[in-house]
Amino acid sequence: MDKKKGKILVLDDEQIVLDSVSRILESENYEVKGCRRGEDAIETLREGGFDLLITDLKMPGMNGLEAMAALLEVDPDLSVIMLTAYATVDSAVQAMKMGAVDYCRKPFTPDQLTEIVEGAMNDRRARFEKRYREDTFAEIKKAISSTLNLKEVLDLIVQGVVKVMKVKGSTLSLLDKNRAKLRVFAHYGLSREYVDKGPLETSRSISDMTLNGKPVWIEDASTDPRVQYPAEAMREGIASILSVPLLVRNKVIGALRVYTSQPRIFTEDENEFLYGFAEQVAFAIENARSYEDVKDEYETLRDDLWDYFDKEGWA
Amino acid sequence: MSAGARPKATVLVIDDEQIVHESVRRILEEEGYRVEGAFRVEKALHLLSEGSFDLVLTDLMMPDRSGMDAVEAVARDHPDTGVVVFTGFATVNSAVQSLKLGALDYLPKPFTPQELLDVMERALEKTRKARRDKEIAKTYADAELAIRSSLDIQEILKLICDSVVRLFKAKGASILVLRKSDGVLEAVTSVGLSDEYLQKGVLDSRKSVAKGLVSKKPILVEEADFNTNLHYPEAARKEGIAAILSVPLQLGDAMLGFLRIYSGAKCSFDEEDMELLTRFADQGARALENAMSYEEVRKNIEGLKKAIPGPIARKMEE
Repeated sequence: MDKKKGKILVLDDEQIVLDSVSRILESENYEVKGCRRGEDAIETLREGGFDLLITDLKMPGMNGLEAMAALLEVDPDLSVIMLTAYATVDSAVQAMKMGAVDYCRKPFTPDQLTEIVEGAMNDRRARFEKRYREDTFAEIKKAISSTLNLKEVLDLIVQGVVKVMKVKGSTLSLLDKNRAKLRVFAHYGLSREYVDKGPLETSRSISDMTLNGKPVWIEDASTDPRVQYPAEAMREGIASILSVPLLVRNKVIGALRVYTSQPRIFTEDENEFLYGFAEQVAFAIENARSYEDVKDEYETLRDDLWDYFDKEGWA
Repeated sequence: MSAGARPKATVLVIDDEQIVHESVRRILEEEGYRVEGAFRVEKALHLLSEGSFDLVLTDLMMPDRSGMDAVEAVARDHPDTGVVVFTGFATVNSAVQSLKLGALDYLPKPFTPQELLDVMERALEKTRKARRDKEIAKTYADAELAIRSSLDIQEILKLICDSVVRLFKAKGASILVLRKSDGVLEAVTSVGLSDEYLQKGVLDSRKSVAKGLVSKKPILVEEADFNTNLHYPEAARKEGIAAILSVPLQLGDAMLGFLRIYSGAKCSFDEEDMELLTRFADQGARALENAMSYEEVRKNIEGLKKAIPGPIARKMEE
């Protein structure tokens, strides 16, 4: 069988419940481990890799709430579902306040169980993706703020955004001096041919919106009239484009774009992340540019001086 | 509650029964809460959009809408307000749903005054903690962005000090730079400290923060240890300092100096604070490094300009 959907620990003092829960979830392609005592569950959990705990409430010895507390101590990220034939308001409130994601009554149908588990797995995935984004973002920020080399800064940004948002590719464009055209300065995950397709006129297309400081979301690049090069986008296998402005002190300096290969709607979290990312990196670009400017000034001055000495024959 | 005293917290009670409002109000007001009431969910949502509340206490079964709508609306639109459900028709399903939607607690009616007060107290604590965490995260993000967006050394140093004072509500902060030649720590920037305290005398790094230089970890010195661990314990006491936290500023392996935070109250930097500070110091050090690279090139330019004899410079400009 192919990759398992998740690893689940089931704790119930009745073998028959363990068997039926295991059968239902295994047929849904989950890996299931069953335990009849809280102490055994703690041992099993130490194996690692578990996503979910499904626990009974009333058990001899350690009850479900106690077991839940002990297991969360071992793995604070474990998602917990409580299943019980003795549902009470009190234990439901207690379990939920301790961090259970759900609390359900026994008996249940296979469909009900599957639905509860899928719901918990989805929440879990969203939570982990968010954490992954935040952690990776912190790393990228650190790397970006450790250099003043413009090329390096821009490359780190486009690579970082592709990694964090799990998209096909990304480009970073900066405005030219008279603020008429956006030119791509860095790209990742896209062919050179696509990147070099031509300048993006600011009077047209997505750029117009971007330059007004607004994000642009294109769900279907092949039909959207705002796309300047739809044929090229199709050839490249681009489905959706999201473009956000790079702003420094409320002034647009360029745009950061992400390209997906599947039509995709970004979640609010993802959008928020991209705006935050753009805000943070814009300053790094500005700093690197200031540094390059002052270095250029220095080098020009040095060369001029050199030329002068040459001409006068003092060298 | 005595007139004019600051309320402990502001609570909005949503219930369709007059008698419930009266009894809840009596119990809570006696403990110093300020209480407002609404008989309908609609009215409550309106009050929420206009005022600011620390907690909402809502019934579930009401004639116009379910109290669950209020729970959902508070969790979604007023993340700084905590919500607690109380109901005469307690069921497992509504309890689970309330908590899933973001309620902090679920209290079946009837309850004793003490039960209500305990629930409200715990909910208030959670709400305040969440609010403070959010505030710190925001202040931190703003400060980090400001620091990273500058290439001016003096400005960065000042921003670092201002930010930590704001983040930790500290008395003051300073940045001490390690002078390589003689190991003296020189205060280059400070906020919240008197000139007298700053000029108290020479700080020899080999004595005062030697441990931090080796371990590269933050060092906390509290009032009780001033005599053994500080150069100038009396000056610190006179300044009204109760604790000093020194966080190393380093670039790679090189030690730049220390970021110091001075607390007026007996100190409470927990592990989270320490981690935040270490991260902050790290960002600050990087920003400083960039600013120093920039400054160096600037200085080179100045140097070159000075090296050019006057007549040549004038000819070059032509």
